[in-house]
Amino acid sequence: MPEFMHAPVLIVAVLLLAAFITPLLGKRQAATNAVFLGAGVVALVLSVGMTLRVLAQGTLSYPVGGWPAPYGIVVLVDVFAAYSSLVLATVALIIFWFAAFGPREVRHNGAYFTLILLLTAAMQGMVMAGDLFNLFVFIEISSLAAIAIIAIKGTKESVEASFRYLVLSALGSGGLLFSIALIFMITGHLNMDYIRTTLMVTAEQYPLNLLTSIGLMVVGFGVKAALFPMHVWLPDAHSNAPTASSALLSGLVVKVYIIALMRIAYLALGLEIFALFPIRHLFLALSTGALVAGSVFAMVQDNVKRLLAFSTVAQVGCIFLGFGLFNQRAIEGGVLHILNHAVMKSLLFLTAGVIIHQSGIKKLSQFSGLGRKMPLTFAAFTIGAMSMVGVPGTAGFISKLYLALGALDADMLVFAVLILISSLLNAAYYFPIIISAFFGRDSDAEATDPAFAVLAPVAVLAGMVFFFGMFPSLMVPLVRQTALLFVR
Amino acid sequence: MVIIERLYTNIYYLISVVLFIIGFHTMLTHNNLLKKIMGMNIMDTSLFLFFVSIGYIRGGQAPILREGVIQYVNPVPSALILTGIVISVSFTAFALALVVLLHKQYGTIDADKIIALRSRRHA
Amino acid sequence: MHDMILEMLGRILIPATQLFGAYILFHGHLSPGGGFSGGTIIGASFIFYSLVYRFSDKKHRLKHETSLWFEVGGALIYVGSGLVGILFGRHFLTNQGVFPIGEPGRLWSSGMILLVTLGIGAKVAGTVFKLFQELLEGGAEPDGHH
Repeated sequence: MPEFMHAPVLIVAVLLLAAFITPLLGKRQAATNAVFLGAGVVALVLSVGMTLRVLAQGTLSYPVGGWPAPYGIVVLVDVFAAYSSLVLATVALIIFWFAAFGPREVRHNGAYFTLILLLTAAMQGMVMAGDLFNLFVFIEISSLAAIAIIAIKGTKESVEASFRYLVLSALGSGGLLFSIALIFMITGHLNMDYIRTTLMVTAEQYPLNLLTSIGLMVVGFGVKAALFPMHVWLPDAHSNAPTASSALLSGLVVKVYIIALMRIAYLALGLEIFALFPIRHLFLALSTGALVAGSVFAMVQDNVKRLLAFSTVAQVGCIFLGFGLFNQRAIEGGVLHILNHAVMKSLLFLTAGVIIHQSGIKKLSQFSGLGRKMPLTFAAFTIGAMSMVGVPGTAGFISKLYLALGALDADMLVFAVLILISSLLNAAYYFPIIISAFFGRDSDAEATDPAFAVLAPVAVLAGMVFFFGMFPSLMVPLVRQTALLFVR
Repeated sequence: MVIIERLYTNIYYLISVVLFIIGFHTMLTHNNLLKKIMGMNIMDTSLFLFFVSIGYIRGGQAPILREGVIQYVNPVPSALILTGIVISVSFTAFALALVVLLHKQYGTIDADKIIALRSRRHA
Repeated sequence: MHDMILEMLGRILIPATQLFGAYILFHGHLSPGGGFSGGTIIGASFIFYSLVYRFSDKKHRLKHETSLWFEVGGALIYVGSGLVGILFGRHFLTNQGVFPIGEPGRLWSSGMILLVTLGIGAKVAGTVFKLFQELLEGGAEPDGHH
């Protein structure tokens, strides 16, 4: 399909164009929605086409301006990038849909949509970037936009949380830029392919530079991806954001940094050099901490959105666990979990937002009996929770199964047990909510299911949870080839 | 003598690392939000210095084709740092805007006091 | 408040600053400078203008829409000139073979680069001024309520 050759830049360009046009439309709500959703749809179509092209013809490398590497900027779309772009485009479009028609939480929808579009464009650019500096620029755009879509709510808590996020994110960016500078210093390249080939020669001469660089990079991405114990900003930031922002942040933004880090690992550093440093062991240790601490902290929360935010900390650990175990099935599990967690956590955050908006209740202790008053919303919440626990038939089961099998393949039974424990812990904090909502005694809160237009995106996400649970084979070619990039 | 020579040849790197640590420390330890932003700027500037000094050659000229100039400075880091400066400016502006908002809402720009105010509201 | 010293200085300095900014902007492909530096200088002249006149005269104030159009227009020029390359069957942002290149060393000598520089300049000037406007008003809503 030669017609999708330009898709990588067009995805970013279309989203950016829409981001710049929305503020001009001012208060014309219908036109703003049309541009906003239109850009999302176009991005999804381009992303699907690009993925099919990559599956058929292999890696797509696109020289911007016609200048070949190493002089020009090259966009490099391999299977991992195509898969990530597809996940981003799909889940983002559903969240766009909710942001446009769901309950309104921000005063200026035009500005809000601009920020969301900028964030999505930056994330798309980040997963496809072929050189470190463009990667850095996209990281910065997405960080700034991610902070802004929290602060735009304008409440005391959200502004405070976003400032804390900004400080830590700026620290992470500083570390990243430093590490890119060190790599540039010892290789003289920014293009990932050229860095890898040069590093094979120069790595031995500059072991300290490389060690410092990799350390700073892991910390920089770790802060942004909320890898335990660098997650301190996440619970406040994700729980105080507007609903659509929470879904975007928890569902997509934290994962994009993992994708970027792993792309650097195999594209820029090369697997040999990646294996020289104990990064995998670090991932294993930190993800264990994340799974345990995230789940335990989630159990003691009384605010539904804070509970979901802590659960994100644990699930980020799950993805890192896949890359820490580093064998075929574990990486397949981790990569699949990027999609599955994006779907189910967006579902949970959107339903939580709907519940809070319809009933005015944030506290889990007051959820009792609410499920009978708004059955559809709570049914969607139940589906998301089941998937988080990993009930067979839901998407969460598949990725956890792969992760557990990967742990067995690596002869590390302890991590298979860890995944089981984390599932049990998930059950321990999700199921009481559902039980008390459906079977608890009635509270005097007034609440009904919202209009169909609000629930439609939620229903689509719930359908996707089952769809990817029943037919995981749809994603298998992409996921398997992605894992093969790491385990040759 | 060897140490002094190594110091001299690596002076830009040395200074930028020192600045980086000063900025990092300021950002993490100061309670005043404005000082945090200043720390962020010091850190960013140190990185710009580091990046530009990678491509700098003593006695090199601006990389524009002219007669009589043999040695050029590597233009790539400078071009990148231009982008870095823009990013840093936008981060600073946004952070300042947030500080203005925080001051409006909490009446202070001291991080500890803001946290105290917040926990009092929760209690 | 009417400040004569500021106004007289402004009358001399603002056009001079803008001229200098335009010079830097238009010679981005020939000498050090370009969109970022030229745009910042022009943006600074806007800031100076509004500092001088905002005390004396409401109608001289630059509107939010002005800076918005500068920003959006600049970005559109950039992305638009990138898309021209695709329309001609080349890559995004292709210059050679799509735009007339011209004679080296002259003002019109680098095809698209001048166009892109103008876009960046407009964007940067708009953004610099917008940052000033927003920080000056301290987060107040443009439509008046808090």
